[in-house]
Amino acid sequence: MGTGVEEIGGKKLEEKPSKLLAEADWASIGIQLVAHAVFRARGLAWRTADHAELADGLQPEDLAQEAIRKVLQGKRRWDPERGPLLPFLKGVVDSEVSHLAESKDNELQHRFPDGDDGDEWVDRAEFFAPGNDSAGILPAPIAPLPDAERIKREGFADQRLSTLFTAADGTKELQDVLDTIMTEGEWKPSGIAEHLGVPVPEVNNRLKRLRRLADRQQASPQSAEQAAGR
Amino acid sequence: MRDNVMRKTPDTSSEFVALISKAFEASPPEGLEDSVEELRAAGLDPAAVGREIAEFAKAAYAVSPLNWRVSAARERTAALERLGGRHVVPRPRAELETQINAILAQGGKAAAEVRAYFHKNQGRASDEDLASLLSQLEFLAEEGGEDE
Repeated sequence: MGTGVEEIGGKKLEEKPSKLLAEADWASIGIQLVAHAVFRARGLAWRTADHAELADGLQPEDLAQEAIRKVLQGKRRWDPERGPLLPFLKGVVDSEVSHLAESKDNELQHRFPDGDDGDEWVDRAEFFAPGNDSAGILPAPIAPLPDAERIKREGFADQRLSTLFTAADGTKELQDVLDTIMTEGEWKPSGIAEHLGVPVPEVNNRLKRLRRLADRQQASPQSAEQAAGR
Repeated sequence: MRDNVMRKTPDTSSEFVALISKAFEASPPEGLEDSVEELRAAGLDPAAVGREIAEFAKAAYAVSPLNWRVSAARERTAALERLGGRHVVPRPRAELETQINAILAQGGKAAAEVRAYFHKNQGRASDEDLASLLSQLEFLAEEGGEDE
């Protein structure tokens, strides 16, 4: 197995990563990397009540490009011996999202002392809701909310649930997933799969369908109906 | 096999949404086909995204230090700067010729070409030309060999 490092004339030339980067199928990588960035951004939006998804007008494509730029500039060092390029780039995107999450938190912390409106509290509370950090990228939680803010947060959650149940309406396999999460408190795909007696990949597919339908429903109820085949 | 941990069923809407968010985050898009579907659901054109990223990566690679063309050009520029900074010591012509011959006698194929050129033009070259040639040969020797 090659080392990716050639010893030539007393100088180490790292030719293998360079060659692989030059010959990479960037169109395919791009589609999968931007899809990953979309997924992470949507995850952040679900947690933060922020429909804009990413701060500062950033788009998922920007995150993907930033990850590629860092690798090609050598700021994030990819070692082919340790794994393929795409998972590495996805990790860099995750890191970018983590930084955005932290800066969003800092922005809210700076805004809060001067703010009369409770929106910052709601955003922040959703953002740091216990157990929302399945990706392990968020900083420590903050103090509990005042009652008024709790009510507002529940109002937002009700809207989310309404969107979800509308998206799942008439599709039993999607409703089964929601029912399992609600009645069993089970969120892991493996646990849901066991409860429903279906394979784990099937549950993963259902969760993706449900999420995408809910996102479509939120963006445009009519297009969601079409996507659901109703 | 399910673990035996007691799960808390959600008491509030926000707890329910939190569990659903975790479930969603446990199911990322995998593979090209799934990624295409993810992009379409987000209102993006997968083909256009692929083209855009490919063009971006191509442009970024063109100026990347990981690109051998870029690193070679940088090394050449740095070497020329080091060469330009060398002080040429005035020496008698005979000494210049002796030292040039001594260095060329140690070289390989490139040295043979320089040697042929040197012997052909030795008589017409000025002292400054010989001093400059010697300086370049000494520089190449110090840099670790000829630039073959």
